[in-house]
Amino acid sequence: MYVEMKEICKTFDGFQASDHVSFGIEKGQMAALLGPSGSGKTTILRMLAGLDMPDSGDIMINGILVNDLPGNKRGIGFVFQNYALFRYMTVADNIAFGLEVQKKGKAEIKERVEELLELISMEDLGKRYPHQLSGGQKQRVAFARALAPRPGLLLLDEPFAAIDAKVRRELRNWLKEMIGRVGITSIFVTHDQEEAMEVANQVIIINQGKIEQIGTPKEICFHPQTEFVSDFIETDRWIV
Amino acid sequence: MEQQIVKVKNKKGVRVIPGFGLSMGVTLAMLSCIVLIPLASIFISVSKISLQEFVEIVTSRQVMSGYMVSFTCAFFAAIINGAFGLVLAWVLVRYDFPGKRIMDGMIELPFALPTAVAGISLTFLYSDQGWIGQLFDKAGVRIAYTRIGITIAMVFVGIPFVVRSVQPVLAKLDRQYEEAAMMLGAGRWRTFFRVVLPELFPALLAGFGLAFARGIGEYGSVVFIAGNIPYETQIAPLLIMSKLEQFKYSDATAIALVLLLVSFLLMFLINSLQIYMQRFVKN
Amino acid sequence: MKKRTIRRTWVKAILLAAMAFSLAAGCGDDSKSDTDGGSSNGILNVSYDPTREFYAEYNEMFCGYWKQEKGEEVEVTQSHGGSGSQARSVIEGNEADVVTLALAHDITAIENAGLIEAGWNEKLEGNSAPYTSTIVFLVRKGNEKNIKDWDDLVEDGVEVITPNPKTSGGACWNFLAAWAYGQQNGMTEKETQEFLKKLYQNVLVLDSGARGATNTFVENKQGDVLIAWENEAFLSLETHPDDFEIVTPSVSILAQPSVAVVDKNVEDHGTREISEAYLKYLYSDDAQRLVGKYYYRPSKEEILQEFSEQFDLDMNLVTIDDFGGWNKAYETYFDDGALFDEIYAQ
Repeated sequence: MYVEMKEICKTFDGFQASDHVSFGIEKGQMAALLGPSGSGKTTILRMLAGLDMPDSGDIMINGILVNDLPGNKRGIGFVFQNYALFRYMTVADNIAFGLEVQKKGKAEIKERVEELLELISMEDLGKRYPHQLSGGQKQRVAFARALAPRPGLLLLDEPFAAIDAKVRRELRNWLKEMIGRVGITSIFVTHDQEEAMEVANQVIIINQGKIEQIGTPKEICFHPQTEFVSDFIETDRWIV
Repeated sequence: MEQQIVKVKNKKGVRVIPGFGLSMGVTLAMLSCIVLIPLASIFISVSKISLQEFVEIVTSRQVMSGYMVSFTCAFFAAIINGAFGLVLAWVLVRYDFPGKRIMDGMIELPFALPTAVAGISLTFLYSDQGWIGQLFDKAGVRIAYTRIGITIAMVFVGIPFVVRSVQPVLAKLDRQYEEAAMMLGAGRWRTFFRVVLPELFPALLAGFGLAFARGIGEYGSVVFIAGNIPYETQIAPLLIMSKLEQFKYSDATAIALVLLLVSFLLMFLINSLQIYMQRFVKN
Repeated sequence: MKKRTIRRTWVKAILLAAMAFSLAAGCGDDSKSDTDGGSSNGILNVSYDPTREFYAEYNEMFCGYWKQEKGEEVEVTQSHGGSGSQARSVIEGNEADVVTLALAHDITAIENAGLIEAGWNEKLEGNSAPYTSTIVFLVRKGNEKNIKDWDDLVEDGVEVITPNPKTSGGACWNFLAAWAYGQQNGMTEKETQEFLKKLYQNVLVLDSGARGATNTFVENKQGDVLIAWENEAFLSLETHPDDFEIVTPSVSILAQPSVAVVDKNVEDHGTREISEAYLKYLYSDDAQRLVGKYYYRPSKEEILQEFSEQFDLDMNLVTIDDFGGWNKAYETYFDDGALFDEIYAQ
């Protein structure tokens, strides 16, 4: 297992956000945390990232216990729901930020930034500021920025929520392709079944802080193990 | 102008404040009575003397040294306020602790306290016999009756400007920016200076400008702690008072006009810079 | 169509602004007539800072006297501040019935503004100065630096506190008293100037007013000697009897705080009779004794003698006339670029 959560519990002001959550994800997998809003999926993602700390339980990444490691030492890339691009930096500077932290040489940073700009097909837009970009472009920059320091794990929080429906499908396919090309282990949070089923090769269904089922999209769809899963999947008009 | 007004009217069917006519009337009246006419009277008073006389007054050695003292002390006070006010605002917004509300309320005290009272108590504390001044005196640093003392009085009167400018911006600042920096491996210092500070910079600049302008004009608290020795610790507003004491109204207003113009220029520059930076913020 | 609406709105706005103006102006008139109405048995005395306590008691005394004489209730309102700024406030419209200021010069300024008739200083005895004072030294208990006279103030290591003559009318007297010492001790003009330069080089804090200087010396414990008004020095001694001593120099200056009726205002208010009586009563024996109680020197010789224990009556006191009158003194010593500025310019 590349990523492993064991018996994780977390409460916020008496609200049980995670209730004995355990799961593992193999290297190179693309996993989706799927559940209705308020189910605790974002909390799991944030605990993996080190932005929130669990009350009990263990988190292992690449065989290392990271419980006490702050987020900036875990080597994780994170794409935020609203991208959180630094407004006073150009696109290129945004992408270079994580590389500067690693004290890479100027030439190396420049090369890596150009490589990533090419990957996201924005070669000519490096000098722009975030406010001059469209939603889809911002999403791509946020993705490139997270990938720049070559993390071992990529976490994405509702990556398509802020994008309008027309572009969403297109961007989804693009992201799936990109992640496949880079070959990075990824976990993304979504409340949209269609999105989870289409993009992920492993789906973790969460409800009220508990894991309901873990499996491939097909398993989830054809062999729902709990009532909640069958309801949650069937209420949608998703057809294989 | 006219088109703009029409737009506003069309956009908002219901206006909360009753009527453009009434509110604009009140605004014009207030602005004229309290701001514009008194300011205009300065220009009128100055216009009674010739340009040559004006230049002679404002470039006389004592007046020039007064400007120097006022501007440098106000500048350093505003710098100190910028740093100190930022920390204060940070503590007030980001942490919860007992007595936070009281501390928050105390920020405005320098506005409420008569400046003379502030000046007298600061002098009492910072003179070489005072509680704090004693400690510095042992280290060979005199605070009261030096330019350091003037700067401290200006820090006192200027601190609310910075705190109250930065506080709301900091409270509204999305934590995701800091989290994003953290996830990219940045430590606290880098996150603060590269990510948070640029976001706060326009507000910080506004606070700095207001504190600077206030320092330039400050009289009440400074005269007590200044020592008022000509060419050393004499501030420009004191020279204005001394001209008034001699019934030389136009001389006094001439000195005041220069202070006013410098403050205005400063606020103008800072506002322009803020408008320039505003464009980054829109989504 | 739209344009017209807008234009009308603007017209409305401007009309309202004008209305607000006239309203504000109207308020001003109202308040004026208020004072008018009340002033038949009320007067306003615009005075300077250190007389606050004296006039508080004097007003009671005068009210009692007036009731006995005329059977009328009278109310005296007090206003205190720096003498110069108080004079300015009267010139700018403060409706004072009488002014009781530190310097004849400040009253002359009101005269020059046309509010007081010329010759006011001859209306009452002693140049219309019912009480006088002089300049003395306040030193710390024990007088470690052994300060006896003006020439001790220019010694190295003596720290002097005195206000700035450019912002404090009272401080001019300090300067002139020191000047008089030089002149009486055979110094030439040049030597006296050098003497004063040395003196002011020993000045640690040049406060903007007399009360500020007292505060610096007494509360903040700065300096070895405060050049002070005699009455202020006594007040400090009264509140801190164990901390200070008064030293009277061989030569000093007689300061004559003057009083006058503000002719234009009493005509408007119809308060001439009571205002004149108010000032005249300052010369009564009772009032003169009150003057002494508050450490001013009574101008009536026989009452002054009653206080011979309190005041050093052997001091050699020069007057402003020895400097050719206030205006001439001001021009020579304190005007911009005059002697005082020269002292600091080098």
